[in-house]
Amino acid sequence: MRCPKAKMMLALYVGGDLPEFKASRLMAHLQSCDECAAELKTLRQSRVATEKIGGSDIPKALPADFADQVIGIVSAGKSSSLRQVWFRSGFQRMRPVAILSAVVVIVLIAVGVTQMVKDNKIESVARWRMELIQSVGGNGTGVAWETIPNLNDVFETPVRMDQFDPPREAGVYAVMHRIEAEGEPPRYVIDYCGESRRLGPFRGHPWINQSKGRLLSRAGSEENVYIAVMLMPDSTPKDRRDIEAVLIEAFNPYFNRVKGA
Amino acid sequence: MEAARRDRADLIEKARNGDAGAFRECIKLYGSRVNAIAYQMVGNGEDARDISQEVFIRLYRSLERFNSDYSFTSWLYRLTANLSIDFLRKNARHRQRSLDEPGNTVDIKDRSPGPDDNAESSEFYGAINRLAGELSINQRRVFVLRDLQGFPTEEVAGILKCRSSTVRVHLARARRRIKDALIKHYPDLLEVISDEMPES
Repeated sequence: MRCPKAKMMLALYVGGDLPEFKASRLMAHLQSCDECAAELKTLRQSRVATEKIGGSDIPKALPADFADQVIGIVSAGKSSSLRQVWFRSGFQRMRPVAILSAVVVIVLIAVGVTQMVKDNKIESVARWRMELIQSVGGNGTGVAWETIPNLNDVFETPVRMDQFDPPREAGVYAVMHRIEAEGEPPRYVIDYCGESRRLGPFRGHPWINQSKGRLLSRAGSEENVYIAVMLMPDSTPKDRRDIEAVLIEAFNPYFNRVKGA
Repeated sequence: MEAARRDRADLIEKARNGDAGAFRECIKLYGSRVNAIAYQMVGNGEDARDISQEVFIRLYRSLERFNSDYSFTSWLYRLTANLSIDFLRKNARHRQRSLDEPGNTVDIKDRSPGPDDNAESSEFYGAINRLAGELSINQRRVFVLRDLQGFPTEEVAGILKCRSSTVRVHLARARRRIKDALIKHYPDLLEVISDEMPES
C-alpha cells in the first residue's frame, strides 16, 4: 500500500468509517511506516479538537415565535425573505478580480514548486503492470474495480462524475461507466484513462475536455458516468504517464483507442 | 423508542392532511436540528435562520406530495443541506476568500451572531466555520452531517442520495483538510490535546 492511499484510509479509520477488511491492510502498512503512524496520531488529535470546538460553536436557538412566523408566511401565501438574503451581499461579491487573480497565481506557483519534488512514486511500475494485467484478465464484461487489490490499493473508490469533487493534487484518473444488472455488485467498463498535472481543473466543470456528449454516448446517462483517481501529489509528468500507459494496456479504453471518437 | 417513532409518523401524517397544529409541532420538533445543520453549513446565525424558514415553507408546500415510504427526516435534512448549498453557491465569490487574505479575521468576527449568543464566550467561537471554510461544498456537507451532526455514514448517504463510498471519499478529504487547517490555525490546541491523549 502506498502512503497517499494509506493517509486517506487513516482519515476514515479515526472515525470508525473504514470497513474491517481494509483496516487490517492498513494496520499492516502502519507497522512499517513511521510517516503514516505519525499521520494517524495527528488525525486523532484533530478529531478530538473537532469535537471540542464543534461543541463550543452551537448555534443560537430559533426564536420562540419561529413556528408562528413560518405559518404566517405560508398562510398568507407570501414568499420568504431568502431571495433577498441571497442578494444581500451583492455589493461584496463585486470585490476586485485582482485579489482572486493573485490567489490563483500563488496557487499555480506553489503547485509548480511541489511538482519539482519527486517522491511517492510507485516503486515498480513494471511489477504493478504485470500484477494488474493478470488481475483484470480482459475488459469485455467490465471490471469489478473495487475488488481488485492492485487497483483498490492505489485508487480512490469510483464516484459518480456529477458528484465528483476534484482533489487539488496531481494524479491519474479513469473515467468509466457501470454495466452490472440491478442488485449485482458494480462492474465498470473503462472509457478513458488520463493523467493530470492538477486534478483541480475539473472543478466547476466535471466533464473532461468538454467531452460530455461523447462520454454519454458510452454511458447512456449522466448518472452512469463514474471516475476514479489515483493521487500522485509529488509526481513528474513521466511518472503519471507511466501509470496511464499501464492502465491503457490493461483496460484498452475506448476513447484512448479510438482517437477523436 | 418505537412509540416515539409512531407518534412522529402520526404527527407528519396529520401535518400532511393540513393540520396546522401538527405542522407547528413538526417545526418545534425538527427546527433546532435544521437550524444547526444550516448554521454549520453557512456559518452565520442570521442566514441559517432564513434558510430554516425557507426549509419549513417548502416543507409545508410539498408535504402532501411526500411519499411516506421514504424517511421523512432524510428528506427534511436533504432539503436543508441543498438549500444551504444553494446559498453558499450564490454567495461563492464573497465567501471563497482564502483564510490568509488580509481582513478575513475581521470578516469572521463580523459574521458572528449578536452579543446575546450563548456560545460567544467560547475562545473557539467561529473556529468550526473557519475550518470548514477550507472545505469544498461536497466535503463540507459530508463533514457537517457526519462529524458535527453525528449521523452514521449510511444515513448521510441516504440524506445526500449518494453511495456510502462517495460519502467516504469526501469525508476522508474533509478530515485531512480540517487536520491541516488545525495545524495551521490552532497549533496550540493540538499540542494541548497531544499532552492529554494517552500513548497508543
